[in-house]
Amino acid sequence: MKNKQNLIKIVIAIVLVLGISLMQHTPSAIADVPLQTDTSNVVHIDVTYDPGTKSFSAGGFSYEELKQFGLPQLQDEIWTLLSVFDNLSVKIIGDEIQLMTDEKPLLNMAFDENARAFVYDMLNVYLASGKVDRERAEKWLEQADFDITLRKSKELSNPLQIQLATLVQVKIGENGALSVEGIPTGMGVPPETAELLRAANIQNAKICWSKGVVNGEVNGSVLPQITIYEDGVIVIDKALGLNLGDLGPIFESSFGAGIVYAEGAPVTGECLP
Amino acid sequence: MPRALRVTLITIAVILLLYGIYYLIGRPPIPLPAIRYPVPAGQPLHDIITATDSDQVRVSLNTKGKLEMLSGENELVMLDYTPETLANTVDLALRLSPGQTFTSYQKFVERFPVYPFLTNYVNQFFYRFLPFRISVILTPQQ
Repeated sequence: MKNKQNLIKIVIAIVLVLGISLMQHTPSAIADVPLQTDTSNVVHIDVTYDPGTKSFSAGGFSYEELKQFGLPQLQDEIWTLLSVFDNLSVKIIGDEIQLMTDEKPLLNMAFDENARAFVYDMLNVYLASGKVDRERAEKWLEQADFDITLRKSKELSNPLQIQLATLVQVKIGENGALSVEGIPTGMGVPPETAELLRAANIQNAKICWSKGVVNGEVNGSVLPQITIYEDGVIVIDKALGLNLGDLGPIFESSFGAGIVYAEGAPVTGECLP
Repeated sequence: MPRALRVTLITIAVILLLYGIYYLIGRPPIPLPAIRYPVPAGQPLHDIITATDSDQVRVSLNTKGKLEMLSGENELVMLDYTPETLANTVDLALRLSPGQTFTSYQKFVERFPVYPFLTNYVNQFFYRFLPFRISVILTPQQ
């Protein structure tokens, strides 16, 4: 009889403990994703230039780093023009382009539907192959907050600010040819990679980068979230001798791409929570 | 009540009671002893380890959904997963693996159809019920 009472006590204790524990909230294993909260495409580029040495810095990258990226030297005519100004900024806000110099408005230009159509036509003439996808271009511009500032200074420019809500559409053709927003880049992935994508039945992928946090999907299946720390990249850079330079601007940026292989369905959505 | 049955019941009750307490305190991962692995020179991993300030890299797996790579106190890379995202990754890795790996895996699953269920069960068990933490400390071989 006493044994039975002990058993009943133990069972009641178990029920109580488990009952309370089930009421506890299960802790989440996924870290908070520091994603942007608005839906605009912010691109702020700061450029500093020194007509004396004919060197410039852009987006936090030094002249030497920009040369490593393959940026060409500016022509003398451009330097002559730049030396006239101390400060120049170009902003695209809504249906208007504003050009300011030394904090005074130089000119305002309408950038309405007609003006944009003219720019698209100009670009279509300029582009040897492919055409501007007007629908996509309008989508980019309707959320645009573009700002380029040029300053006469020997200082290093401020870090690049890129926070793109709209996904950059990248297409990989069956032959591996790469196009961005419908415009052929002239580059491509190796044939073996294209064959691997075909064999693996990979139709599309979505990659979102937000200040070091990478979220990805392949064929709509969500992949683990990867957080890359700047210290980690510096170690890899040092170990493998990649000479990546200052990565600060990249780790301050947010952007994403929708990658489609061959006839795969386009990737929809944005890089937002 | 037979003595054997009574002992079994009490043992089960004690295990459940202990697990209940463990659940109540938030199911912290059970730490397992760290494994030291000296990486021979000439491997890219060796170069990565020697490029760190601490001269060692710790790869730590918490089966609650976190895989970290650290150097001293500095985090290098972190991966957050759920059983679902881990299964998606394994599936993708199999599809992208070279040669006949994916076909061989499919054949294996045809012969042992219970295999995907078992791996999923193990994954879910250590993720949701009994998480543990294991670390591998990578050092350069002298």
